[in-house]
Amino acid sequence: MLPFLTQMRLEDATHEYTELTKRLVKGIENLSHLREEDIEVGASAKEVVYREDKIILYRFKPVVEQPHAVPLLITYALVNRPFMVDLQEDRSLVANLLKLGLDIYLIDWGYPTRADRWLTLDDYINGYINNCVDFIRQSHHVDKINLLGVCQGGTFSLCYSSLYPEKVKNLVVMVAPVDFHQPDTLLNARGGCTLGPEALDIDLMVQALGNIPGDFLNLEFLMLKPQQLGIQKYLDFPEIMDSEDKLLNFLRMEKWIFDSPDQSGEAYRQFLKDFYQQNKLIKGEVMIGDRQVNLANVTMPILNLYAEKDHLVPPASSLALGDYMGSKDYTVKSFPVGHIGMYVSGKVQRDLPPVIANWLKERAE
Amino acid sequence: MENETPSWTEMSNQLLNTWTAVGTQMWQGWFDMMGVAAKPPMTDMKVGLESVTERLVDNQQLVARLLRLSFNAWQEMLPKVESGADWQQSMNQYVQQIKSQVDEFSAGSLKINQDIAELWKLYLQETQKVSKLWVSSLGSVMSPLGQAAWNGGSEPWIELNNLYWNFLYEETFGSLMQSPLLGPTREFNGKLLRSFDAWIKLYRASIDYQVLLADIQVQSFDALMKDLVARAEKGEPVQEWRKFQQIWGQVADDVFEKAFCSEDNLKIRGRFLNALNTYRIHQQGLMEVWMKQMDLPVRSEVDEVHKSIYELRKEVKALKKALAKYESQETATPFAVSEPATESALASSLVTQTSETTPEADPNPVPEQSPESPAEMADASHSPSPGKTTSKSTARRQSKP
Repeated sequence: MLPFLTQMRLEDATHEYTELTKRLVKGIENLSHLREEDIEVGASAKEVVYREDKIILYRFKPVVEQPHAVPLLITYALVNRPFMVDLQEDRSLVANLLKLGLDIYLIDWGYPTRADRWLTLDDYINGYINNCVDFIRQSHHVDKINLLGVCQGGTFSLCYSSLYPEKVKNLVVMVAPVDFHQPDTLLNARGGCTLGPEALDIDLMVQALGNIPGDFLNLEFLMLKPQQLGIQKYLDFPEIMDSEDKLLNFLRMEKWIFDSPDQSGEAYRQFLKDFYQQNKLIKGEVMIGDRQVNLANVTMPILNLYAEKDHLVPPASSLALGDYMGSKDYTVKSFPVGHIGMYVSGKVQRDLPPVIANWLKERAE
Repeated sequence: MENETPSWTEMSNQLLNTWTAVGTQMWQGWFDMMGVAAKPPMTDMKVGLESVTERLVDNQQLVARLLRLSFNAWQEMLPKVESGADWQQSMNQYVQQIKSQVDEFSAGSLKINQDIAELWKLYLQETQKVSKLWVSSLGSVMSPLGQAAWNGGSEPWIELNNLYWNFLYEETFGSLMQSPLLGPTREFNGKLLRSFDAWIKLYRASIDYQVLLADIQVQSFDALMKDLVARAEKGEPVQEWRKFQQIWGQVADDVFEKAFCSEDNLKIRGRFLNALNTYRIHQQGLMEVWMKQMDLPVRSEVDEVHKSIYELRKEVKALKKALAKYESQETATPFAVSEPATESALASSLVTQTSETTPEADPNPVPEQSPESPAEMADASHSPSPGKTTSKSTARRQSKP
């Protein structure tokens, strides 16, 4: 018999059950009034300024009269949608940065289809990111812009900054993996950071699936914490159902979590093999197209932000950047949250935007 | 007496004739009855059955004829015996005939027996091989079973699963499945067999993976019990169901993470995923065979088309970029023929003109200009860029909120 059952009193259990039922009844009533439109993500006003194939470059409408002269381009990961940085009004990194006077652009990678099966990292970095950067430079009549890379987008930003240092003024990387050899991190271990193809034969997977389905990636992330993310989260759901605000927040997160685009087969192949399995980034062996990435060429000021409780990108992986980059102006800052908490935690939303904005403004000249 | 006792010869003749007639009638009647008893679905087979019965009856008649000949020989000899004539010669001739026939029959029988013996020997040898596999696998099973009973864990069960497949499948059908095939459908059959083989490997790997998951569940339950007991001992008993669930979730996920960071378990999971992907590839191959027969476009053809489009698109982009660069260089050279600064082909080519309406489209979009248009290059060379970075040597700083 489970020990705790002997300690649980019947009257407490009954009371707990009664409270739960009340919340459920109210929650169902709240839920029945909600529609999909009520949980749209992307709170801040923006406009499309550039398109190429399926990617869209958005510019967020400034909320101050004189935005910062050097625009900031946010490069998100290919996994999940980029609007996590602008999830809702009170949890929006973008909105807070806009209030602090920054001029912000965001790349939306779109939803790759089978036609995009052959897109490579060369297309993403030397192609799309470079063209977006050129467009912004052209629009603002500047030689260099600021770059903010999030997660895999941070890794891409590092590669881009190494290849085009003349176009990047300041670089901010947020929960960005650099050293992928992390045997104690389940995501890296599963990706084959120690075993390579024995853990997961990427070539076989791409041959079988073509584009890697978003559902597969969802499942991979859920299976990192199957009990908590697959069961516990929904067992806790009745607790917040009676509050409409909390319910909306939860549903918005659910929408974002499971809105996963497919990954282009060739880009996925190179990222998993070169970065996760062979850890080529810190070895200086990554080839993007015909150009070699060398982190020592990243010489512009760098702000490295990481999450102390990150189970997807462990702190050691992000902190490794300090050992390989070539910048003389390198700042590291951490926050006591998890990977997703960096974007949506209320406390972080209070502290993080000023850190970024002030750091960038200090390096405007 | 008026009616003399018939002679042996007459009696034997009568017996023979009667026996033959009876036998023939019996068989004929039997097969007639079979034909009558046959139900309507059997009517198609009735013709075949009737031909078979006719052959049997013919054979029966042949046997009867042979018997009649034997009796005829006796019929020839018996009168001589009765009359005291020299019947031995006939007897000897008859015996010689019988003997030669028996000799022939014996030689044939001996050969048949030899062949049958050899067949049995082969059969027993092959049966022995299979039995040996079963016996040795049974013997090998004891150790893992013992370990499983004694130690628990997933390794013995996985070893058992592997033994089963290695001994009983790989050694028998598995190796045969890999052999080259015969006939005009060898290619298709080969695909089928390879798909089956892939399915077997997937099935095997999935059992290993499920055994592993079950073991991890058991471990997590064990860890949960230890945690609850530790809390109770510390005076922090869990008294709420929700708290219990949270602890269970946390503990289970910790055990899960630790288990799957081990290389052995990663390999099991990797084998399962790789087998799944391999099976999917074979499945697609079979699907393509069917679709080709139905004259439908297949995945590999569509991928080929997409690849061609992708490569062409990339080439066009590169050409347009080169053209834009060339144009901008042309217009930038002094004393060049004055031409209006043209909009670079780059920007116009890069912006995809789509027919769909975009709610967020800017009514006053930023003018699309090439990043390397001559105007911009001229401006850049003459006016200081506000974005230039002055070099700063700053010690690395690390701060926390």
